[in-house]
Amino acid sequence: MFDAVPNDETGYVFAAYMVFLVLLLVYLGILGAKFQRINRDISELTDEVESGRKQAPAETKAGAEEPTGV
Amino acid sequence: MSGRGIKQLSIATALVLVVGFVLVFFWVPMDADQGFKQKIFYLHVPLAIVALIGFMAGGVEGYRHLRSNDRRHDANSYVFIHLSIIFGVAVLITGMLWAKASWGHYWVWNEPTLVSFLIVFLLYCTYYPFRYAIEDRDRQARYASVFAITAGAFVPLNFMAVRMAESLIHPRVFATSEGGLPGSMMFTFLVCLAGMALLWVTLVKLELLGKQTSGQVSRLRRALEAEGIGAGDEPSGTVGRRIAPNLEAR
Repeated sequence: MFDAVPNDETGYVFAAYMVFLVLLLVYLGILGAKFQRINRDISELTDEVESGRKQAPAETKAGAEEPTGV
Repeated sequence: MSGRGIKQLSIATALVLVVGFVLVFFWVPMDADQGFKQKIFYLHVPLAIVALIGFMAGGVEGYRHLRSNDRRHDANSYVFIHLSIIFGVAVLITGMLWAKASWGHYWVWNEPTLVSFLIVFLLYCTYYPFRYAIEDRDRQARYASVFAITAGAFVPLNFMAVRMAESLIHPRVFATSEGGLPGSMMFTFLVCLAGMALLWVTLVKLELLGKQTSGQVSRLRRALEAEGIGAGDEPSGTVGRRIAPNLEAR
């Protein structure tokens, strides 16, 4: 396809389309990293909620068994 | 805007862009005047059109924010401008490569079209430090909206001024006295334009989804802290806390 055209013109056209592609890939990479961070935050929050729930019934149970002294 | 339909939109974007570029390299005839280098036109011009419309859309969202005081419009305005600046970088680089191939120089300072786009681009580059400089979130959003409206109004004025300028070596291909683009070139151009517009919308939706989700995570963290569950420190990874407009409930 590119045989019929001079090399320097092909180079500039190729460079232009490559610039677009590289910019797009870099931007998508940055977006991907952002979403990974958000995902990590959500996982941390889920762990915190789950450990909080486990602690809460244990504390309630301990409170109920504590002698009132009456 | 939400995350609904992002997958379908992404597929449509990729499809239209690939079809457009296949048409550019395998179907559309070679330009009689410019030859092979004219193929940059199908990338450069759609990018420029979408970037300029994006800047103006940012102004419209800024106006809607000032009218409603709804933070979502400020976030939209920020993301529209942010994406358009990135598209602007691509416009400048592809334009410089086309200029070098056509005129032998990467930049021609006495060409109004080039210089005017650079002015618009540099104007919008000041948007980030402008936002950074204001600590208070409400003031930041209001001032940024005023900036977006003013700069957005400057874009069409600038475009008209350039069209009225006399000395032009930058090619005019639409609505010329010679009749403009032939049918096949116009069709290919429109497909590429649709692809770029779809790409812009997809990236905007992805950015907004990210901001929305990180806002929800912050809200959830605060709610858990209030209930005494979880650690007090906010993780360093929380996205866009400093400059980007948050989408948290006020």
